[in-house]
Amino acid sequence: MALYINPVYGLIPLMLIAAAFILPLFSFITKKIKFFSLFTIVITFIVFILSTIIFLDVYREGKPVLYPFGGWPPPIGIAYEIDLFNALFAFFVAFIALLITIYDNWYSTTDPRIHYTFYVLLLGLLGGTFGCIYTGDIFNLFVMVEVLSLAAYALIAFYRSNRYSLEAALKYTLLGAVALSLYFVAAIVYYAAYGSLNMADIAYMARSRSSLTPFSSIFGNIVAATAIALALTLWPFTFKSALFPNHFWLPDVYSSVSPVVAACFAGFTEATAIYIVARYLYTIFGLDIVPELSQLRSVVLGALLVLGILGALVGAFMMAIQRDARRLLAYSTVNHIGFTYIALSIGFFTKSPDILRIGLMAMLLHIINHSIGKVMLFLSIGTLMKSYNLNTSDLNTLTGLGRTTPIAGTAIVVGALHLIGLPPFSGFFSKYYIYQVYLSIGQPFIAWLVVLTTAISLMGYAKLLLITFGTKPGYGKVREALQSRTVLAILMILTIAISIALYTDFYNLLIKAAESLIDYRSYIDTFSSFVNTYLSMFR
Amino acid sequence: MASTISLNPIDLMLISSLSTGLVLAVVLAIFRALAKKEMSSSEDAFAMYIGGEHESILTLKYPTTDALYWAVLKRVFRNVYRYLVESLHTGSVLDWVKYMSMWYGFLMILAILIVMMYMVMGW
Repeated sequence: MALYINPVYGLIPLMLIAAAFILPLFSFITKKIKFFSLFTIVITFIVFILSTIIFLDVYREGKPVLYPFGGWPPPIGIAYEIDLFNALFAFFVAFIALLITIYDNWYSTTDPRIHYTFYVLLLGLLGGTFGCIYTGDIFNLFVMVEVLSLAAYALIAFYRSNRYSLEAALKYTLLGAVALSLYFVAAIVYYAAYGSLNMADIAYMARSRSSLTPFSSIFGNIVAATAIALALTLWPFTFKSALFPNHFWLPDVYSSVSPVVAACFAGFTEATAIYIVARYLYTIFGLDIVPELSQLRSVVLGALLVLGILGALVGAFMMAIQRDARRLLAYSTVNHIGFTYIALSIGFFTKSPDILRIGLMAMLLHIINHSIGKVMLFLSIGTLMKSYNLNTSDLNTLTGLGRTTPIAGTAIVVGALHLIGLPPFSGFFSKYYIYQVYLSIGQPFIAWLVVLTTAISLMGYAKLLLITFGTKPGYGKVREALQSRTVLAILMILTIAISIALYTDFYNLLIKAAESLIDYRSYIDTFSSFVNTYLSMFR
Repeated sequence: MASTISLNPIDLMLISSLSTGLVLAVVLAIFRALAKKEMSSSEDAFAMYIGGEHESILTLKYPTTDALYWAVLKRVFRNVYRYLVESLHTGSVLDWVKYMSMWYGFLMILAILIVMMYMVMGW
């Protein structure tokens, strides 16, 4: 008897990492940057197709799917466990990554500072991201975050002649290395306490009173060990997602890297870190965990809510006093990450699955909206910088230039209005759902804070609008590259299309995805039924 | 008693889009009406002072609404900005570490408290 497992589930991260290693071999044949860019587009396109297949497969199955690496069954081997939430999230990341690589085909190939190793790092960043999204194993998550981080450190420092890039990379690397070391210690503590590194296995034990063995050591008791391990887990991922007060690296990084790299950060790496925090707090240590652990989870969610609110406020205030467009966008990210964590913390107030699924749906929609808006703005500013051969994104320099590049100029307006949350752009709906869900649980103060913070952030977005609505005499129309026009047009259409799609099954799909995040039973059942089927083969 | 009106997404989108469109149209109409007067002044009137303000400010009896908005905003949020810029975002990596350690410290204290609580409770 043989157990058939669809190999597609485990293919994406491996393929991306393999492509990253193969790419330098081509440098013996050609040195043309255009070739390496096309290679990256082809690989990203294949990833997009594969992620679509996985998403459709998981949607059809109606329950999570499991892929054991090398045929080793979990919890001994590494397993990928894909439910509707991470399947949909990965599909979205693949789409955004594809758009960024298409844009990059114009932006980076005309930049003399770009070397083929840039694409090695870009593929590595994507490989790490997909590994983090699909994995169902705590240690494999550490490895994949390492892959993502190493690529990120090098991408930030890529402009070696720019001292600001090097400074930003140094700061990010030092703190990132400390953060990841803490997560490594967390993995040790999880293993010492649970005897397993599989997420579903730990989720099962965290809900079983028989796991509460009365040993004298910290590692002998899952409550004590989880308290320490969770503290060591949350810090690195709130650092990666730039939640206040772990956001300090962000403005330096965004303002010193290529807009393409900044778009990658804003488009998917930070969102991936938020996904990991949500996976820990809603699936592994989600509903129905032993009451002793449940108290801890509530305090952590409460702390994340406070940090989310502070992050949203700090980001909104700091936006208004920025003179650099990319720095302004960095604080806008701090603001939106704050909103996302406000939605994520809904579990602090309620354990009702009906409310949780709306709150987490709002979180997912806000992640999607923020990624679209931020990628659109970074790429538009990149187009302006490239068109006028600027090394700076100073707002005074950019003011009025949006008129000379019609598509990029329009995209800046659409992106800003979308992030403000103005209807009919879909940015409105995620903020509306966050507002609505907090009203429905009798927390009008938090709902009001969402509105207030948005109002404060208007001061900052008004500066961005001046790029298009301001005047700069003496500049004629500039012809934008096809790649730039296409990508920005698609992103602009998406902001409206998502609004319309919310009327269709897309709303139900988002709700189902949010449900799958809190549905620990299906997550554990997939794992246990696989293990049982595997063991029955030997009986 | 407060009442909540639930709308389906398409109604919500239509109503919110139309009302936003209406507000924008009104604002645009007001802007156009006021901008006309502004445009009637000569080209020289657009020369800027170093302070960044319009020359016509000298002829005004009262400050413009724009200037009032920023003045009030700066006054109201002066302390907020003083803290944000001079204490929080100083640019020094040591200050970063200080603030980031606060969040980490909170998590660790929470973890240690829980460990102690359950140990005291008799494991």
